[in-house]
Amino acid sequence: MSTNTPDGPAIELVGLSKRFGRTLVLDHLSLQIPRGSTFGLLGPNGAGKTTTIKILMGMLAPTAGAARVLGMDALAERLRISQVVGYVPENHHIYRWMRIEEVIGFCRSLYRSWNDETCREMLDLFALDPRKKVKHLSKGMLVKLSLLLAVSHEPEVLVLDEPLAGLDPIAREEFLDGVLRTICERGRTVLFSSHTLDDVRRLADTVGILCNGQLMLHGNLDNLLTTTKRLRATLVDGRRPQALPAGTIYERLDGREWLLTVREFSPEKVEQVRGQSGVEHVEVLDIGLEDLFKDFVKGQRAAK
Amino acid sequence: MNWLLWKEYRLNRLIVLVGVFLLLFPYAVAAGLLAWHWRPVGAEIHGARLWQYWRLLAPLWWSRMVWAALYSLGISQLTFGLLGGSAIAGERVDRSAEFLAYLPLSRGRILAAKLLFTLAVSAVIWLPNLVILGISVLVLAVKAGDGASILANITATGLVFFGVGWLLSTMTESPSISVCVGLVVPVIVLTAICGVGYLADLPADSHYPPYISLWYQVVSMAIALASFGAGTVYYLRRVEP
Repeated sequence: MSTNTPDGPAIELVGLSKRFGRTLVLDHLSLQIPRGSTFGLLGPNGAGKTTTIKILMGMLAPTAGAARVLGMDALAERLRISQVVGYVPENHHIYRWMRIEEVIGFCRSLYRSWNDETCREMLDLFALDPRKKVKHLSKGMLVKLSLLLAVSHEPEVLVLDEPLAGLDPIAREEFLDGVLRTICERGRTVLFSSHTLDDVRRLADTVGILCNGQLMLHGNLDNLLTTTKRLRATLVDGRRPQALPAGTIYERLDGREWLLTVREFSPEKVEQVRGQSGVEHVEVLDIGLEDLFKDFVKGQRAAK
Repeated sequence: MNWLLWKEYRLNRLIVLVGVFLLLFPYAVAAGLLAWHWRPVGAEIHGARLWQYWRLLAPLWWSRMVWAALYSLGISQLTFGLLGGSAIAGERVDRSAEFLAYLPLSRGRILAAKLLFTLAVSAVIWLPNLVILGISVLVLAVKAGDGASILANITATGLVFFGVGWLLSTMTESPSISVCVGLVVPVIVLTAICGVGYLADLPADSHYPPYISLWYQVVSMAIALASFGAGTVYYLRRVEP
């Protein structure tokens, strides 16, 4: 039953679990993505990003829990969802024997809200030759064609699954321009997964880090980067103090240097570290998204 | 639907070519042999003699056409095995099924397009052969006799090829397995019927007693319908592409 209210979340995952045989890929994943936001889903390989996206697109059934897009159940209302969601998959399996114009004609016949003008604009923006066959397209061109197909029916939600993998910097730039354009012009909700953290930094206003099928970190990107700091302490004798400040997501001892990555940073936490015996000096450093991601994943692995 | 039918044609173009070859090959062989054995020589080829020659040849021509039509129908059933076995597995193996899976396209429409395409191919294979058989029966003024039973056997075989191939195609990613199993099932059915008849000591006044045809048709139709139904339900209920 759909509950598509204008102020409800664009995407909602409730206790989503997915098991392949004995392997638990998603473990009670819950998440809400508000309308109009751009959400970057990060995670190491095998974290469950693609599985989450495939469940959202109605291409996989969850073992437990529910996934909703614009209030519609991803499984029960797959057809309605695919009319209002644009999807760029990680691997592109568009019919290789079709020409670009034929792929466009094929897709256009299936969407009620296909916009020829948007389609033409995207063809021009990406310099795609409609007469060219799909099998003759480079990886970059194929991704651009995929984006063109995903946005030409004016979707309310855009889902991009590692769209930039394997693209050269120029193709990546052009693709991002296309995505940014659709976000800015239409105020769409965008969910995308990526390994390229610079691109996430550029696009996303909210990020989530998925690790071992669980959403470990979720929040406004600027807020996360402001409130997460790296503390570099110099130790007197290289022995690590016992107590860690609350919110420590990763620590590393390297000789006399003790590095801590701390969430919800406050001056009190610096004082707490400084107050421990054996700590000679503490320095507070800003952290970038890439380091935050790496520290978080390494911290999770160490804890496991 | 036009785009979907066109896609089906493009995906199955090679199978259609094989089907056309199987359809025409027996006629080509029959016509070639007839022409070779009865080739006109010298002066006989000219004028009135040619007409007389044709009048002499016509009954033999049409009787050869009967066999060509039956043979053509028989071997063309392989086309249905290829179509059924690759119907869904073929799109899984090249992963284009994943492209279809996120388009607003219901499984029902996908299946309808595949069935419509198969019906069109059936028409191409069956109609010319049936027309030639009909004309031959009229020209030769003979009774259909065993012909009807042979046609029923051919139909049953084609349906099993298609039905079993279709069922496996909905479940696997390998069109080769689906096609091969579909093609083997009629042989198994026929062997099983003969085995049961032999074990039950049923009366056999010839090497091919009539009950075998009847049983083969009934069992084959049942297998074909059950396989097709099961495959369709499985595909409609399956979530993965």
